[in-house]
Amino acid sequence: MGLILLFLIPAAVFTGMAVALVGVIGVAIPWVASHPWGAWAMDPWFQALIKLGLLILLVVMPIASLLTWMERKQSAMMQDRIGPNRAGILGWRGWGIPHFIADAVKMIMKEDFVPAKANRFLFTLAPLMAIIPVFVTFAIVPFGSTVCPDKILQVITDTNQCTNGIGLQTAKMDVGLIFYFAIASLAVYGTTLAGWASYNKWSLLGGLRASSQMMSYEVTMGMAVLGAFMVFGTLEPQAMVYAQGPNPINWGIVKQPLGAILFFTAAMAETKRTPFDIPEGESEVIGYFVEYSGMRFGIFFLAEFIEVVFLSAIMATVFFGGWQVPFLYSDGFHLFGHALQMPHIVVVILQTTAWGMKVIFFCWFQLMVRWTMPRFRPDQLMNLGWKRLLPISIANILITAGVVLAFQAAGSR
Amino acid sequence: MLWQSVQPMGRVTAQLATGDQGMQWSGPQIWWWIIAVFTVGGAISTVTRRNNIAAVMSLVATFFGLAAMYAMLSAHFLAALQVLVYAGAIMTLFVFVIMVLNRDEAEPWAWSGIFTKIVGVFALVYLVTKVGYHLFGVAAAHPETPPAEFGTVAQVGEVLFTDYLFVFEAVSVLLLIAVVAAVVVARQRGGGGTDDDDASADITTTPAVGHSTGHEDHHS
Repeated sequence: MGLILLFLIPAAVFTGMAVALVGVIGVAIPWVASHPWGAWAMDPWFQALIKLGLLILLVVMPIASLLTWMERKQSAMMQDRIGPNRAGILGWRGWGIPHFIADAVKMIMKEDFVPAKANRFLFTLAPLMAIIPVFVTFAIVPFGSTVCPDKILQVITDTNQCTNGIGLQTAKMDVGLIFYFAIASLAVYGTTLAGWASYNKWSLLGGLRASSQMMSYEVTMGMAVLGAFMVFGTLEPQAMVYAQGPNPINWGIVKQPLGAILFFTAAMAETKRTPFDIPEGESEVIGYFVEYSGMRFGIFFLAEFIEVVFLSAIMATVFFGGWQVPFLYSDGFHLFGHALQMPHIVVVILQTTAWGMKVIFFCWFQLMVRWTMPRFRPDQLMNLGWKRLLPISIANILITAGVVLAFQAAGSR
Repeated sequence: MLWQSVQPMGRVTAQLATGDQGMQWSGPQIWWWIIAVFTVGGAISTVTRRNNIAAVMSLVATFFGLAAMYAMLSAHFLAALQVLVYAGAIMTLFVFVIMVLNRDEAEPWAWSGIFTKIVGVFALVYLVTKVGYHLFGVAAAHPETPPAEFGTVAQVGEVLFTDYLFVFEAVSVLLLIAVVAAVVVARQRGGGGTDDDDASADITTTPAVGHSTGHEDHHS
């Protein structure tokens, strides 16, 4: 019961955010642009900036902050404790939600400590190298279909028909998920540099563990989505969502169940959370950020939660239909021959909300995994990555390629 | 458009000198200069840093500049792979190895003697004059917009698996040979038993090569 509540609170927060997101991008900006003094609002640079900025400020940061609270509350529930309930704003304690504000204040007020023999420049660079790549990767995530600003109250059958539609995705890149892998691979530097620049043997070992783990699982992560690339015939996330369509039978989880599980496992190892938290191991193992305190540590912590949000977003996009609501087409619901028509703006808001629900669900699911599984040993981790997940993912590619080829041969005949 | 940025240096400086369009730089030209300075600066920093890690990070910055150049040349897939393979994978291994070896911050050997300094200066002057001579001799290229599908994943893949299939496969065989060779070399150095439970033993005990055949199959 409590666990369901833990899902519902961020979900309720997100629903408001989805309305604001679609409202600003789909309605307010085109309204500004329709005036002679507001032509700058349709500038592609400005559009990209406003989309990424709003996505991060309205969706990513709130969810990531709420996750710091959810994590502790959920672990408390799963371990039959009460959990955080002390901090309050003017007496409002709200199940401990104000704790994340208290945390932020504490981290900012703490002493900004740099070890005496540390390399100051790289010591400062490391947290930035950890957090900037995760922000950048959100540029490829599609959080809704296309808004047609002219016809928001009408029922339209195909969003591709409207002339000046605004796609709810920051950057539509041909390389798509390859861009994600490229940028995400840079996050390794954050951990290794943190370990090295601290001038501490234990943090160095933690950094080595972190980089070896991330390098090993990156391979599996890339291999796992290759099957999805072949099935949907594209690397571009928005095109993948369109290819999946509103019918759940066509979603990635049905067509690529093995790929979904492999990707989820490997990507969880990338986020370095339990059961894969060998590099940091908050309580027992001394990790790469042992010399970091205050907001420098806070940035590592935040980067981890943003990675959780991003992994959830990619899981939802590639394997769970992205922003597609089951049986909701662009003119309304269609199910068993019945149809329920809806205005365009309602459909778009529903889709963006559905995307948020999926993201929050996977965040919640990752927290469940984190508090259920014990930690791996390093050799078990390497065994799992190289000797089990990698061969399985390669087999998945071969089988998928064969099936896709067979379907193509059958289709062309 | 972006294609304009491919002009050789000679043209841009010539424009500056004559002043006819000197103040009317297009966006891509400005970006070209920013990226060029960034890339070359990173490359210079790579060879001048005394700290190994700082040198490697400078090289990563250089790769980023190169990737940005590729992106300006409409080769987006190549740009992504440049970051993924070089900055994301290979340089991470460099950092890993440097951290494991943990060498002292020594003076780069190139600065050690007067003789090497003279040779280095002569080599640098020769290189700069030679490259500069050829660059300024090139006639200005006509900027043209590449076709829309240029540099996309689909087109690169198609070319790779039709026209250049043999080269592509040959390179992959080469890489496979390199991997196998690396394993063979590592085995000879570390002795037998590369089973996981024995990973620590591999580092601590280094038996002679001749004895290693004895416990090759010990764990399997």
